[in-house]
Amino acid sequence: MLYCFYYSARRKKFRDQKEAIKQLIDPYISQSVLMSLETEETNLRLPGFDELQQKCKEAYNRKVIIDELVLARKNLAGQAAEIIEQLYTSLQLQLDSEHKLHSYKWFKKAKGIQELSFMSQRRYWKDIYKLTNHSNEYVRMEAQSGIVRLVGFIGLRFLNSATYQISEWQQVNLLYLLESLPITEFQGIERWLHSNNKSVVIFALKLIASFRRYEQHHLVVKCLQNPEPEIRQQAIKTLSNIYREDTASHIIERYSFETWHNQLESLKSLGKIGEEEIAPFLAGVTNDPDPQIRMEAARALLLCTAAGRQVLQEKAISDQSWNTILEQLENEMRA
Amino acid sequence: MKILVAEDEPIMLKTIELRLKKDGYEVVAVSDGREALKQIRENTPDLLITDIMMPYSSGLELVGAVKQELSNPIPVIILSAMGQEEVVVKAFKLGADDFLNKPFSPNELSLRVKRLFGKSIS
Repeated sequence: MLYCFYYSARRKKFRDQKEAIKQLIDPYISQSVLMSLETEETNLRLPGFDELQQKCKEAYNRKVIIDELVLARKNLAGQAAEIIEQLYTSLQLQLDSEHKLHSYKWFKKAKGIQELSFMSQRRYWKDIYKLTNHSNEYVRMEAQSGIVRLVGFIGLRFLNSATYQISEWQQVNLLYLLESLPITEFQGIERWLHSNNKSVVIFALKLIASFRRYEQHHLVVKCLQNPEPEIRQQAIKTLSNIYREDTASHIIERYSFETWHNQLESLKSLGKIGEEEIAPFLAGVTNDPDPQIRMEAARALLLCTAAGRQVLQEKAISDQSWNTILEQLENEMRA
Repeated sequence: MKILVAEDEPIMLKTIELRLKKDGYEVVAVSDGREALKQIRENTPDLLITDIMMPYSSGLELVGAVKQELSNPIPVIILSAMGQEEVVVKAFKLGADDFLNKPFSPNELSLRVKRLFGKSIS
């Protein structure tokens, strides 16, 4: 009973303290951002700075201020972002984040990485880079995103030594992050395509697709023969983003050796990139015993060949169900 | 010109409010979708700037309300970290006039507002 009372009183105290600090820091951040936009000065000290500094003597207050600054930094770009970073270092808050970075607790480590990387604290890049292959998944993910946030495409170098699988979720995060950065030349794709880590190969293929690395076409074609079906599937998808005249023929060549899933993926890609000359192949696949394969072949036929409709209408003479399929596909395309 | 800003992050709400007030606009700042809807219905602004993820009603629901309920629909700028293609497409299909990805620059927002009001950008 006594413990419950103590616990709830303590919680209330922290809640009130947090509110009081937020009342101080939130307007200060907004005012600083606005002033910096007016004066184009990022090293501003507005009235209230001394009070903030005073409050920063207490660890809990520093924690609340860091959280508010990181939140603002996540939402703001350009000069407004610079002023937030400036405020963070003026209050020496990077030292708290550094302390978290070196903590033995994984969640503190991950938080430290996040704070330092959002606040563009580049001098910590080596410490963060070392954590990109950490045994804890959360630390590893934060470090991988953090290093890319800090140094951009060059941070992808962590892929050279990544031994743990990079989850699909993390791959999406990294791609999203990279897409927001200024595109620079990045080296290493060839090496990553030969990695023993399956997820690194898949991620490299996604990078080729996202950043339209046409010059890697021949390497992606080689991946169509990789023993791993997931890698081949990504290669098929990637080829539909960097296609050239002979791309469809490479996919068709491997079609009969593929798994059911990859055959479907091949047909989807062919629908995106194919031209008239693949019509006989697709027409042949519309006779496949599997209904999903037949459907995807018909879709591809309609999408990429002028004769597609006629081929399907001819099939409908002997099999009425093709009329329904044709109607459904045409509705789909109109939508 | 009156602008309604709906954003659930207090710092962002304050920053946007101050930036737009500096440009001379009257700003009504609200922190959830329900309050925004109430404002739209009772005290229609000239422009709505809204986040997508908010308590009670999402920014996309607000766009729908603005474009369907008002006899004279006002322009809407979506401000969101959900910049994925499908979200942006959905917002424009619902009738949004502009989409600004977070993180964003308050100066850029100011210019987009000016453009929507047909003011010259200089």
